[in-house]
Amino acid sequence: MNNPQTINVTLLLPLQTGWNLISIPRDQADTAITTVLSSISGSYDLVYAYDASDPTNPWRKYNVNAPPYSNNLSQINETMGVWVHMTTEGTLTVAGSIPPTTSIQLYQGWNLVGYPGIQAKAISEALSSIADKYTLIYAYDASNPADPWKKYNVGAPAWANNLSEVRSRLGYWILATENCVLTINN
Amino acid sequence: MRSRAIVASMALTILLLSGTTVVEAMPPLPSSFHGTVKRDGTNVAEGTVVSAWINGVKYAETQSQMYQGNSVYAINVPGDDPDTTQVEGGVEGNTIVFKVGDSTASPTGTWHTGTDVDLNLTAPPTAVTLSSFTAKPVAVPPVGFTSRFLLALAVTGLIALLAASAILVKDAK
Repeated sequence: MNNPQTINVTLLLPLQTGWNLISIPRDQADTAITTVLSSISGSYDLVYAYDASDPTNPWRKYNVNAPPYSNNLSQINETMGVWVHMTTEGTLTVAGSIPPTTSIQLYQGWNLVGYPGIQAKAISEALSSIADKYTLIYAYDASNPADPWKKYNVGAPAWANNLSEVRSRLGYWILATENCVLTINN
Repeated sequence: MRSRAIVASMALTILLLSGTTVVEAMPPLPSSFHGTVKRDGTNVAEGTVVSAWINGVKYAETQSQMYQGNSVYAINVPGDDPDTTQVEGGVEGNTIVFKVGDSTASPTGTWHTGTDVDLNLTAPPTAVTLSSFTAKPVAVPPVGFTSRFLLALAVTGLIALLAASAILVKDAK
């Protein structure tokens, strides 16, 4: 359950050519995918999201050039991690209110989530609501093409991890050990 | 025995010190396909199961729907997590065989992560089985009559043969 504040802050997300794993860290008045991504219209062609509540068919897809029947992703919001394939570089303008609290249902196994926090936070702090209920986190930073994957393994020594904090612009893969609810406070 | 224990403990120590852990990779982006699905050039029934197979294993299935007068499908074929022993889906270059119901359709697809390919599927005509024909009854004489007729014929023939033999023996004498 989200309780958006009246504060509206526009965020600019630079996106690279190729795949970008992002979050939409604002509460959108209109969550239609074409509306949310309207600022990069013509610069992207394919979008994927992952619905962990549907383990037999978790992937959701929106192909700009495909007929409507073939797309099963029509809405995106601040709880979701979203893969966006850019055909050219672009900047996504994310307008909307800052959600004071966001609750995201996680399911045992892999979950692809957004992070609608205003400030970057250490992983242990940002994910304190699911402490001991996750073992692994991945992020994909397309702005660093030489080493885009960032990993935080709870059981690994610090030197083996290259992800230490979560930021609002990125989407995150979280490996949950049980069903739980991730709560993010601003 | 003692040396084995020492080697095992050394290996365990090295493993722990190196921080080695089994890390499961997140799911790769799927390989997606969509298009028309027909059987012998005609639409398939809405709700027909379309499935995707790699090396004889089914990894995804969906149901056909109707769109602008055509039966169509859309499917996401998952990828494999190379860090696990089990195979969860495809890897780059795998051939994907599509089935419409139980029939193998053509053409095949190729697994590529993060792509959505327009691929029209055609299934062969449904095989016609002999059981689909209705057998027509044929008029035949009753079995009892035939048996009696044949028996009478055989007995008559035997008697005639014996009589002929007797005549031949008598003439020879």
